[in-house]
Amino acid sequence: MNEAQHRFRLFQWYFNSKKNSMPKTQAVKAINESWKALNLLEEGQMALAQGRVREASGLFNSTYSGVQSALNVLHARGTSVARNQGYAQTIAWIKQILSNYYYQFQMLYKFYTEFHGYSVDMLKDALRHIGVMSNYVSMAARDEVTKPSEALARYELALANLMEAILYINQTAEREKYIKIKV
Amino acid sequence: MPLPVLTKLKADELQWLKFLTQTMMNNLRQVFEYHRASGHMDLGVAMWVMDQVSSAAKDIERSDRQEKSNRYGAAINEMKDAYATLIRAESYLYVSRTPLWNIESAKQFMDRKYRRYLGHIYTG
Repeated sequence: MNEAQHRFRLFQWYFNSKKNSMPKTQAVKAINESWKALNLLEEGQMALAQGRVREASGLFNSTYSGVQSALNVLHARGTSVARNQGYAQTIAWIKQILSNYYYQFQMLYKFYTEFHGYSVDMLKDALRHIGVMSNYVSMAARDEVTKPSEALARYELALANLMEAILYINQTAEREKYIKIKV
Repeated sequence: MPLPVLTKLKADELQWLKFLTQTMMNNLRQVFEYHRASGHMDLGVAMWVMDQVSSAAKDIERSDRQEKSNRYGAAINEMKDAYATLIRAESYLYVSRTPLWNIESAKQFMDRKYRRYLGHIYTG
């Protein structure tokens, strides 16, 4: 039951984030699929409450597949949008992500160096990755118009290095016992 | 009346953490959407990340309640939990994207930290 409910929540989340940008017919189709799944979920919950465990289990499995169908309706849109919009849109998107994460890096760096007094040496690995990130960004910017697929790959590598830098800062904070990442 | 120095420090630290956590949360949502729309998002990963975000949001709420009662130490601890949860979600979301698997240290970090925990949805 939990798994079925979980997947239903996932559908709702996807749907809410996309409902204003998708064609109405597609939204209706996705909603119809999800209604069928919701009915199955409710029937399953009722069967479970009445002790009909085997039947409930079957209904939860059907719920799971039903939500999957609804998700597929949304997913089909997401994938084709990404493909059709082409590189320009994707590059614009990844540049925005890069910019936001770079801001996050700056804030983290400031917090640990200025507030907690971490030395530059402690965070040198992070800074090394920021250097590599800058190189990839320069290369990507140069190729953005003429070789967009290569530019995109380089922006992703830039993002990879930025994330590495953030990871190093957080690992340092963990080593210093400031944060504990629960496992 | 101004806050005592130690309390002021804790209040400042809390503001920093709150700001960082909120920034992470926003970034995580954005990159999640990017992965999903570009067709690389595995549903298992998506569900797991959503759970982490929702868990972090609860930690933030608890922290806000502690802050309102002027219990800055407790508020910081709750915010640190949210922060750590988001780091975990962020790292996993990030390395779950296939083309980026060549980033060795991120892989190792994830291997060491989460492989056992993530079990069946771990794609590496």
